[in-house]
Amino acid sequence: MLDAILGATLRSLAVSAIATLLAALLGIPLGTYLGMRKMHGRRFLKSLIYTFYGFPPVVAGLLIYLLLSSSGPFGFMHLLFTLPAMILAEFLLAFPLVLGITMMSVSSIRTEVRDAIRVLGVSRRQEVMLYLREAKNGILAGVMVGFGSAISEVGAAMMVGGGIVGETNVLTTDIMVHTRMGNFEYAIVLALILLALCFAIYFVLARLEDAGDE
Amino acid sequence: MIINLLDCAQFACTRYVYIFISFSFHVQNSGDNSMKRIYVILAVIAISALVASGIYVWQEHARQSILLATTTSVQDSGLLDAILPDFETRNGISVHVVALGTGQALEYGKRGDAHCLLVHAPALENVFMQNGYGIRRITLFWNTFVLIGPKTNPAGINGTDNITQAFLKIWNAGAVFVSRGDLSGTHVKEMEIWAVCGIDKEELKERTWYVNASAGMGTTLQVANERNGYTLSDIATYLRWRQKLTNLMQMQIAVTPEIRNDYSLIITKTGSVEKPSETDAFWNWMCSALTRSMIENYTINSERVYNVYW
Repeated sequence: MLDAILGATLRSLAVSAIATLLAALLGIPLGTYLGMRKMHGRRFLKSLIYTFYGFPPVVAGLLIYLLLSSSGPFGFMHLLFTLPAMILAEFLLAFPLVLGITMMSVSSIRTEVRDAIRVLGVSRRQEVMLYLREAKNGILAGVMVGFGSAISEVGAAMMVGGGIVGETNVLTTDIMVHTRMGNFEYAIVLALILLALCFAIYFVLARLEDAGDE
Repeated sequence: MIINLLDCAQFACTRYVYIFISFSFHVQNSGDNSMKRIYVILAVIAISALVASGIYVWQEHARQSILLATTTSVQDSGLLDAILPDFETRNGISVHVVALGTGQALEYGKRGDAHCLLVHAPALENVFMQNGYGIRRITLFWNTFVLIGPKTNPAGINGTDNITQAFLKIWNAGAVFVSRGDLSGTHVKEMEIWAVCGIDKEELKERTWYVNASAGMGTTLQVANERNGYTLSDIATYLRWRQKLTNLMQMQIAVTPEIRNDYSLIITKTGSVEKPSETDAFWNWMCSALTRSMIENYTINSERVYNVYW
């Protein structure tokens, strides 16, 4: 039983960490880029990104299921009911959050600061660095929210992962299955582990947030 | 230590972002076509490498396993956890179990996402087979549906009633009835019984005492418990939940063929094409006398739940 709990915990962690990492790798640069530039149609783009803040997990699940299903366009890859499929679904949920919040915090850097940076006459490289330093906490918040949405999600994880025991079951899907079976005690243990895990991760990230402020 | 690591990570991140952005600016501002071309080529290489490795890894991985789509009632009964390890050690093939409603399981089978199905809705299964989605089907074992109801028994059901008479009593008394409403095998059975009673589906939906839970069996039983209602359940799920359902009891009714709950194994077309030897092995093992006796001897709270067709 300990093995089962450990497995589900590790899979939960791996799926949401990789999904968040991918979302950060794509979302932070893109968000910074969009936040730094003034361009046409930015308000429209912003609204579009914000719309996906509320992207329902089951819709993400349905989308990935239909894409990866044997009779879907990517069925030949045989990715349905595997961890990569789950990572893809969680990525879809975390990416708009990371992208949008990064963009928001970069673009909300005060005009005086922007002017000061411009007046300094620094190189492009230094300019990007200064912008990132200014927006650091906001970007970090984006990553945290993205991770939170990925690790706490159950609908999409169940739909594209299938909750196969020892293969694709994660903490949230296990909590659902065991609640359905009436094993409340087991479900509660898993829920506590999930909460403790989130606390530990956010504790480390909060230190990162403070690190640059001294 | 942690702070140092984090500093490194932070540094790496900023460098990464800088490179990414400067590259974007560069590509955009230079108007240099060769740069753009390199960018596109690199992206294509990276993506195809990812895709190729993904396909390779997962095809290799998928080779020694089959996907069995079954119903939540089977999974929640714990039967598969008890018997599947025997198959896996004998044949070295692992069985990945995905639990769904019967309707959903059949749909997954149609779309080619499952190799085998273990389901309990004969009417839907027949259509499935007729349409050529399944290659082989065998009815392996059965248990009974049970009528669960409040201890107060407002409809006055007693042991001389069969299931149809019991349903008619509920209808006449207007007692609360909680339906699964999820096109599961149990729900399909419930609809069949109402039809035998001569009660129209649409008319039923208009009754305020008819509650559509649209949920799994465990949840539906809980709803019935909260609302003091009757519900149709498979015996296995009820036995698991019995202690938590303080307001409910099992109604004593006459056992007739109507409340028989037949479970069938289906090998889907996809299964026989993609995994001919694995599905064959699974079929033979499921039909073997040893497996049948394991199913027959499986107990929940020291009560047997499945009867086997020999």
